[in-house]
Amino acid sequence: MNQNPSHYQISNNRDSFNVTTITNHTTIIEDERGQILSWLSPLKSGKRHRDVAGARAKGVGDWVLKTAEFQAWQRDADGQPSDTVLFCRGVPGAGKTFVWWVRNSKQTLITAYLIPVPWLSIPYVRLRVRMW
Amino acid sequence: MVVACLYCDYRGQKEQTPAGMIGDLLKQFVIALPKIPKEIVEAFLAAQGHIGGRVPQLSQILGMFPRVLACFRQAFICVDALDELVVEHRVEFLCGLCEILEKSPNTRLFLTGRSHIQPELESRIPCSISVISIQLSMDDIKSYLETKLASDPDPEAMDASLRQEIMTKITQEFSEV
Repeated sequence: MNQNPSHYQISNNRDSFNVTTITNHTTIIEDERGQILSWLSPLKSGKRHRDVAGARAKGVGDWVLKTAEFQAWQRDADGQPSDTVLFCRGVPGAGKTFVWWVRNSKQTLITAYLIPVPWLSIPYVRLRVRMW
Repeated sequence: MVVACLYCDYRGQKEQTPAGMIGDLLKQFVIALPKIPKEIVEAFLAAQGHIGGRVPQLSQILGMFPRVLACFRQAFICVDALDELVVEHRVEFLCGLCEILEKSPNTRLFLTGRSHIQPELESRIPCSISVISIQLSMDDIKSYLETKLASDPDPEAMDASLRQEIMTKITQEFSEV
């Protein structure tokens, strides 16, 4: 999450919410922002993503990114028409965890990873994604 | 461009309601914005006016999506392990995703799950779906084993021949599966 205090600004209506970008008030603003975000959903996907990302073996599953299906799906919306939905299916025991790691920056750099869990006891295909 | 992700988990079936999950996706998109849109702040304040604070309904959350997604050139929604949702939740959740796609054409979905989910997926989300069958490759097995062996907490208990034996036996067993 961006730590820039100005990003804690909640609305244009500053009087109602005591919102300001003055550094001293960052905590208050952060609380309000946090409350609204928690209200939208109590679920937290971030922690699980970090747990899984730490378990990934380098290079595993990179082949998925080279498939025509993946390439077609992630093609830029301004380019050729692409498929709206990509479905990765796998039988129980295929044993992979897929991580999509997108660096949501101006460079729009996209890389993706597959994370395997021990293949002897694995559940199956998993996808891990994180907004960056 | 922005990405939001969701992990379905059979251990969390109680918490993973359609409103909670779609709300979690919205939350991730909202975090990527410089500030929370006014209509969401207002909806939050209105909810606080009720005793105990009213949780947002699925229809309300879906109603907030188009304006938020319109802030991005392209949005990706990725959902893991669809089959781990209870059936009743899955129907509503998939219909919710479908609504998001219809109202925000700049959105793409990336989904995973067991194969038996596919017909249900195709009936709930009637648009072009591309499918990849995931199978563990021998290269993946080797990469994984090498990583695990390299991070062995007790390297003195391992010599080259044991290492070789582990690699050979496991890869051999895998190729026989």
